[in-house]
Amino acid sequence: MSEFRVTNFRQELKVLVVLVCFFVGLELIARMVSESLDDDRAHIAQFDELVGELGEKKGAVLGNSLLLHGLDLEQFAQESPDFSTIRVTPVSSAVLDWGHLYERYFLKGEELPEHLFVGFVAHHVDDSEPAKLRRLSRHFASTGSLSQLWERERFDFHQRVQSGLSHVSALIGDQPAHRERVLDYFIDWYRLGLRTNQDWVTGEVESSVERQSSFERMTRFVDMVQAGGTRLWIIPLSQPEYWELNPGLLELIEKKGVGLMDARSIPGMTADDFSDGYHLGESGAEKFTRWFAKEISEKITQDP
Amino acid sequence: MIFNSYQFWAFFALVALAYRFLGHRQQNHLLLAASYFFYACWDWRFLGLIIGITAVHYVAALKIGEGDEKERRRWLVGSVAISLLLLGIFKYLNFFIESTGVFLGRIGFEAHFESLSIILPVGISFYTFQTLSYTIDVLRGETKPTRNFGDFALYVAYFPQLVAGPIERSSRLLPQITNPRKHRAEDFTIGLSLVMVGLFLKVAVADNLAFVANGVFEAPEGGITGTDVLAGVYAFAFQIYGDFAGYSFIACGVSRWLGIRLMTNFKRPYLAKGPSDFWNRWHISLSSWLRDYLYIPLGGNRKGVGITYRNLMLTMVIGGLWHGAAWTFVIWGLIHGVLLCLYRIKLIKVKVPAVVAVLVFFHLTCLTWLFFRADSFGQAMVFLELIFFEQGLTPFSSYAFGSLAFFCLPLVVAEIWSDRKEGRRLHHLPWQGRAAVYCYFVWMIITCAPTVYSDFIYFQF
Repeated sequence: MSEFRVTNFRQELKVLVVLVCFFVGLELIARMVSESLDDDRAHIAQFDELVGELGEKKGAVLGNSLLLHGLDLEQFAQESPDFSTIRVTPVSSAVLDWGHLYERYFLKGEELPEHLFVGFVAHHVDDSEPAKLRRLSRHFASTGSLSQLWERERFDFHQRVQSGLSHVSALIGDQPAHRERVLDYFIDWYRLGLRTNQDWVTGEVESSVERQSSFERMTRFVDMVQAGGTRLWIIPLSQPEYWELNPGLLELIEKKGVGLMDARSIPGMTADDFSDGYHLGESGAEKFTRWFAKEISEKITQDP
Repeated sequence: MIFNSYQFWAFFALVALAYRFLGHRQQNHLLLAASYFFYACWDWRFLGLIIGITAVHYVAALKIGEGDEKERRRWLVGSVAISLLLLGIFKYLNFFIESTGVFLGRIGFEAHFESLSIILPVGISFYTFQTLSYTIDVLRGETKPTRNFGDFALYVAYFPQLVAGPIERSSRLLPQITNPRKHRAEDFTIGLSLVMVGLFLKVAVADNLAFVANGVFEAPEGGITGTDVLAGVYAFAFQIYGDFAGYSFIACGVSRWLGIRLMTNFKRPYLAKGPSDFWNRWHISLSSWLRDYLYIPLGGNRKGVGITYRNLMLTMVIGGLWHGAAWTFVIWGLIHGVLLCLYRIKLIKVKVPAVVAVLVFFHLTCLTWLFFRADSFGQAMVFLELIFFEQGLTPFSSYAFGSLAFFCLPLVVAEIWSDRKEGRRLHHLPWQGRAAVYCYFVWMIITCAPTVYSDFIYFQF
């Protein structure tokens, strides 16, 4: 290595050009592998196709991993032959995501569902649920709704830039998934260690934070769905321990005429029906699907 | 407005663009306005505080420059007292109230003192020390008092180093403000390398390891092993280094782009072979400040062995307290003081290979970080017990050590490369080499950035 040679801005441009090319290369790779990054992104890539099936199906189930694992579509088709449904359940999503993806994928489609079923547990519909900014901006929010998202969620300048970049760049929008793939490859016990790490950190944070419940996101979501003439049903989902519905949410659904299918206490469901203390396992999914088909039969197909 | 936010880079781009088209005096006005705007973005209510401290030291320095010996000392004592009083109120008053309450309780008096809700002004410790050094230097005749209030205000509030240093000496920074700046051809190259290294240290190293360290220090009691704790302490060691050195590098880099050179604040500290070596490499602007304005005035090593050890201990305890108002910081300073004394005594006469000396002292530094990071003295002691008596490999420790290797190993290799020949830097590489290293940085910063960013640790000091 020689002595430091003085380089000026123009000479350093060569370095900057390499950096820009490198970034563009990474972006192209990110776009190519986007759908195969994980099952969730593969599912997201099918949204247009799924929504396209609405012409022949009456209902749509919207939720997250709780319904992904909890609702067995094959069993449902057998138990409820008169009522068919699509299922849109991106993992770790909540009402803010559902509102934007409904606008981006459902409202622009040719057909809207007659009935929309939204499954959740308490925090998914609360305004205090943190926005997953990158994925929301990349996969759920449309270009036209980005500015509304920034205004309504009171994003600061940094978040707005991050959100805008995520919307246009697969590398930045899917960054958490890329990160997970890379670190999972290089680091032993990455996922289990990370989960323990998260539990320790969030345990401390949650114990020190008192949640103030409000439902502005839910209110906007209800208004948007009902404006299209779709009947909205909410499904508070089963958990190993019974949980209370927020009175503010109850007031909202009563005022707006939203249907309620209460799955918090399904007869015969026990803690053993949950695979990991949060998601339903095989036996739990079977019980939930049977219960759901029965609810539809009682509340929709027999009493439209 | 932190350095790894889009706000800062948008702000800097605007300032740098306007800066290029202005003459020297206008550049100073622009930098001062930008610096106050930068500070106001943290909390505009403290603008009055920084302007007030600036005014006090500006006037004091002029009076010191003009007055007789008695008057000079009076102005120095007055200005130092005002600065320390303000620092004491904002930073140490609650600590004093709480500690007094606890002490009175221990000796049998029931005392209920209410803590006051005082917000710590960001960067107060940094600009207080910077202004103190100016006034003392004027008294010592090492700096001439400046008559231009705007230039002095810029020296105090210069935004790249305002909230987390380096603590610049007036003899170094003030002439660069008062005189027209000379832009050198290599400024862009060097600035870019400093900014890239700084962003890598902050975003890739510090923020990722912060999550690991936070997990360990917030883990429920009984839920972790000594191996987990060890990984957590190592993670914190690299977090605080990446965080603080990263900030300093970015500060030096953006300042370089403006034609102003800031001092080097970190020189591969974890390759130190002993405590003196460490303090010549870690937070150099603070350690040299403590040496020049505290240790040497106390007598340094000129008044006998006993006084030397007393001075070392006192300097390090005050250095600990400078970091924050908590007993854990005092203990951190105490341990560093003890280490300085022990290494000075040279209890071990055997000459050990450099690599052993580095490893031993790195672990001693980690011991001090344990007390620095711990929520309480009790937690630090529990963790020490776990480290020595309850080792056990868990999936978490495997993940934590894996994270350390992934994020820190290339850094350690680069530091060893740089340390083998003093003065060897990233910008000395040919452009192809620099481009390759920057590509690695960009990949790490974009792909491996954590989902949650941490604030810079040193802002709280």
